[in-house]
Amino acid sequence: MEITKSKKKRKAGIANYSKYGQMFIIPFIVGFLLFQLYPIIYTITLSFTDLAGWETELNFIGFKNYIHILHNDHFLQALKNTWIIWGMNFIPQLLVALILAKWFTDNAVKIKGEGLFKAIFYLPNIITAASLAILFNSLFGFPHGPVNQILIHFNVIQEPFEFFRSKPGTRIIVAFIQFWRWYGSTFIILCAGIMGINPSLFEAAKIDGASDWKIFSNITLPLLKPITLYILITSLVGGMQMFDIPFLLTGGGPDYAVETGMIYVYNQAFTGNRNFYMSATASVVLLVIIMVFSAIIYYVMNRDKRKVSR
Amino acid sequence: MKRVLSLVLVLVMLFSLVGCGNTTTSEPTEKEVKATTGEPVEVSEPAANKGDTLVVWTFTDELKGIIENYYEKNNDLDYEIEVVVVPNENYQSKLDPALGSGKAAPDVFAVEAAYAKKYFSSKYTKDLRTMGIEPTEIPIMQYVKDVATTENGEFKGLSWQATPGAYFYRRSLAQKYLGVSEPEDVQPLLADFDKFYEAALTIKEKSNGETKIISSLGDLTKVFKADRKDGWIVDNKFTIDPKIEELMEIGKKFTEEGLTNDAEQWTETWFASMSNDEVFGYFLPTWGLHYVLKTNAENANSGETTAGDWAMVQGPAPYFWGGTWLTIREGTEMEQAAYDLINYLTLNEEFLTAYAKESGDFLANVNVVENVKDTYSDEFLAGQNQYAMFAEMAKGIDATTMTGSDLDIDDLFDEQLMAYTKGEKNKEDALESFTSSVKDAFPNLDY
Repeated sequence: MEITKSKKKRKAGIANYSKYGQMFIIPFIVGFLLFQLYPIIYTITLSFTDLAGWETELNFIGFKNYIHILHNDHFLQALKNTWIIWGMNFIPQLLVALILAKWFTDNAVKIKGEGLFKAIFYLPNIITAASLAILFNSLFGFPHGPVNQILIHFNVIQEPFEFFRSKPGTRIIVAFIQFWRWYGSTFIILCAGIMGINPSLFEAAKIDGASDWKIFSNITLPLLKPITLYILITSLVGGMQMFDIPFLLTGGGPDYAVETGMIYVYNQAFTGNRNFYMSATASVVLLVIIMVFSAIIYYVMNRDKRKVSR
Repeated sequence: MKRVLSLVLVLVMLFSLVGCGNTTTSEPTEKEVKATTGEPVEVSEPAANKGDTLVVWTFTDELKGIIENYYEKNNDLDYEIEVVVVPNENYQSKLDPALGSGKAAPDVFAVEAAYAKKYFSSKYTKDLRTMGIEPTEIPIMQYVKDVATTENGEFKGLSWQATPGAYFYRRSLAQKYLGVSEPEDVQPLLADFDKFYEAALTIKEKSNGETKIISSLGDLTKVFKADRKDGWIVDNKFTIDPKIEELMEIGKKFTEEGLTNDAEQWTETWFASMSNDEVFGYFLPTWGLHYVLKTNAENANSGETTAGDWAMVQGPAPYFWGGTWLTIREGTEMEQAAYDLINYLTLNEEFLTAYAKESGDFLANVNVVENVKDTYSDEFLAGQNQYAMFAEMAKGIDATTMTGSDLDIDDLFDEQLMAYTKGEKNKEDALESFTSSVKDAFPNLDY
C-alpha cells in the first residue's frame, strides 16, 4: 500500500517538473521566433523582391535575383575569397591542433605546465576581433610598421613592403589571424576527444607492439571522427560567415581580395544604393552553400563510420 | 530516426547561426509621394509644437556644442533639446530606417556634404520655402544654397558654415626649397596642376627626398574632383569626367616619382608629418585648419611645434570639403521648434558674429562674413588673415558636381586609383573595375 502511494507521488512530481522545464524553455523559444526565425523568413522573402533604398513596398519578381547573382562577378569573387581564406586557415589549424593535442595527451611525453599552455593557446580567442584587426593593421603598416622595420633591419627586404596592397599578402594575414584565433579552441576540443578514448585501447595496442604512428593513425584518428566532424562543420559555418577580421583590417581590399561573402552582404545592404534584395539573396545563397556542404561532410563522414563498424 | 533528428538539429543550428548574420532593416510603411515641380509653394507659418522634446541628430559633437553653448543658453525654451551624436560611419544606416518608419526619428538632422543630396532629394525632408525661408532672400553663400536646392526647385536645408578649401604650406620649407615664402609669391608657383607638379619635383630634388609636397594622393583627389565639369551621376547616368583620367595620370606620376610621403589621410604618419619636415603642405578646408592642423602641429614627444610657420594659399583649384547642412524632417511634430533652431543657427547674425569670433569657424552667412572678416589675424599662419581669404575662395566654389552618392562612389574610385597608381593594373582595367563596382553598388543607375 505504502509503496504504491509513494510511486503515485513520484509520478505527480515528474509531471510537475516537466512543466517547469517547458516554462524555462519559453524565453529561448520566444527569442528564437522573434530574433532568428522571423528575420530568416523575412530575408528569404526579401530575396524574391526588388526592395532597395527608400522603397517600402515589397514587389515580388520571382527568381530573377538568384539568376542575376549567379552571374555577378563580384559575388562569385567574394565566394571564392571566402573559400580560399577559409582553406588557408582551416587546414593548418586542424593539423597544428591535432599535433598539439597528440603531444598534450600523450602520457609518455608529459609536458610540464600543461594548464598554462592550454590557457596561452586559447588566449587569442578571447581578444576581440576589432583589437586584433587594429593590432595587425599597425604591425604590418606601411612604410614604418614594425614588421617592415624588422624585415629591413635583417636585410630580408630592401624597400618597405606594402602588405595591404598585395592580394596574397592580405589573404595570408587574414587567414593567419583566423588560424591564430581558433587553433587553441580546436586544440582543446581535440584534447577532450582524445582523452575520451578508452585508454585500454592504447595499452592493448602498445602491448601488441604497435608503433606510435600506428596507434595514432589506426586508433586515435578513427575514434576522433565524431569530434572532427563537429569541428569541421562549426568551422565551415564560421568560415563562410567570416566578416569581422577582413572587414576591420582593410574593408575587403586591396581590390576586393579579402571581400568575403558576408562583406558583400553588408556592402549591398548598407552602402551604395542599399540593395536589400541583393543582400538578402546573397545571404540565402550562403545559407544554401553552408547547408549543402555540411550535409555532404556529414554524409561522407558517417558513411565511413558505417564501413569501419562493419 | 536518431540520425534524422540530429540532422534536423544541425540544420536548425545552422539556420540560427546564419540568422545572426542577417540584419535587415525594419519595413517602412509610407507610400511614395510624387514630388512637386518647381511651382511656387504655399507658405504657411510653422505649425505649433506638439511634443516637448526636439530631437536633433548629428554626426559630430560640433553641433552639439553649438546648441548647448549658444542656443540653449541664449533662448528661453519651453521644451527640451535632445542631441544624438551618431558616428559618421553608421549615420546613414541608422538614419534611413528611422526616417522610413518615422519611429524614433529626429525632428532636425544634420547631413554631410558627401551624402546631403541623397536626403534633400528624398521625400523625408521638408521644403523650407513652405515655412517662409525663401532662398533668394537670405544672405547665405550661393553654393551652400545650391547644394540644398533640388532639381524641382525645392529648398531643403541650410548651413551655418561654408567650407572652402585651401593649401597650407610651411613657410620655412618654401623659403628653403622654392626661394620664396610669402603667400602672394608662392601661389603663382602652385597655380595649376602642371605648376604644382613642377614645384613637387623641385622640392623633392632640393631636399634630397626629405620633403614631399603632399602626404598622399588622397590629399589631391578632393581638389581634382572639384575641378570636374560633371559629377559621378548626371541625369541618373553614371559619368566619368575626363578630369578623373587626368587625376589618375597625375596620381601615377606623383606615385612613381616618389613625390608623396606614402601616408594616407587620417593615418598616424599623415598627422605626424604636420609637426616635422617630411611634408611641405596639406590640402585642408576651413575646419581642417582649426581641428586638424592646429591640433597636430606640436610634436607630442619632442614638444617642437610648427605653429606660426604655416601659410595659406588657394593652390591649383578652388574646392570645398565637407560641410554640415541642417534639415527638418517632413512630418515632424516640433515644426516651430525645428524652424526656430535652424533660423537661429544660420540666420541670427548676433549669434553668428559671436560664434565666429569665438571659434574662428568660417560662416555661410555673407553679412556676418563681411562684418568680421577683416578683424582676423591668425598667429598660427604668421599673422595671415585666413577669414578674408576664405571669403574670397568661397566665391569660386562650384557645387554642381556634388551628388547624393559621392561618399560611396568616391570610396570605390579611390580603391582603383590606388591600384592604378601603384602599378597593379593598367588604366583601362582600373576604370573597368571601377565601373563594374559602381554597377554592383548602384544597379539603379544607367550606364
